[in-house]
Amino acid sequence: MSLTLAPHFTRYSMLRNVGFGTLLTDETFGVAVTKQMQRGKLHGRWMDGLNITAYLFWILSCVAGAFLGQWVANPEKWGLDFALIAMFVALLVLQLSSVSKNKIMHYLILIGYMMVIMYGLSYVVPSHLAVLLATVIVATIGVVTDK
Amino acid sequence: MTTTASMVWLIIGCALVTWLPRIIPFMFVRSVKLPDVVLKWLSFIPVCILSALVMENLLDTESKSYVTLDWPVFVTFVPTLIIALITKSLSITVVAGVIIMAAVRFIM
Repeated sequence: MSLTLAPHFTRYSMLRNVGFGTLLTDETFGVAVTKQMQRGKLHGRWMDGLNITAYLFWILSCVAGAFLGQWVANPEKWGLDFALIAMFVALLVLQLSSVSKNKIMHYLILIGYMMVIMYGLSYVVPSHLAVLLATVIVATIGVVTDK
Repeated sequence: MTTTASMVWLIIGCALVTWLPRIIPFMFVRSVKLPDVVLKWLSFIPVCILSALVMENLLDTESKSYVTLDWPVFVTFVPTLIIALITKSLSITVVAGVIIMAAVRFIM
């Protein structure tokens, strides 16, 4: 993820880049690449704002969760665990909607590959490893099959 | 729970292991110009990683001897995807997804 974003921040200082990397999460990565696809450019201040906001809310939510948790004995019942999945779905859709028309078919085929490869890998490796391996494999297929 | 020195070191070690791979690419790319084929490869990463993360959550790898769909999650995923396609809105999709998931868990 860092490697995907890093080329957009080479004009900033080493220290700022270490800062971007330190605070990067799956979620802020998702938001940042979507922004990059729509606008074509990313600014350091925007990235810091995104990362710091995300971290602040992470910390605040943890504190709030510690106090309020006793009233929500079973968060899954309220569908809260789905929030993250829904976010990934929305980011994926936003990514695809900024892809140009003649390339969209290529991307959809790659997602097809992704489904098959993720399913297969799920038998042999833990799911977080499957995510990494499948991403590397499918991105490579993407480069090879790109016209 | 008592905190031992080895536990503190373990936490520091874990922090380093997740921190280094995040910052090294940012430092490395500053000094090296990446070849076009690598940049092209990187351009596919966002869509790949997001679809992989979605797939990861749709699959149930534990409850049976074979990998199958996590049905309640899948049933929620379909309308959530449609809502995302129509609204193109992150916040609406997340709120709607959570509500649908709660409804599905209530029924199933």
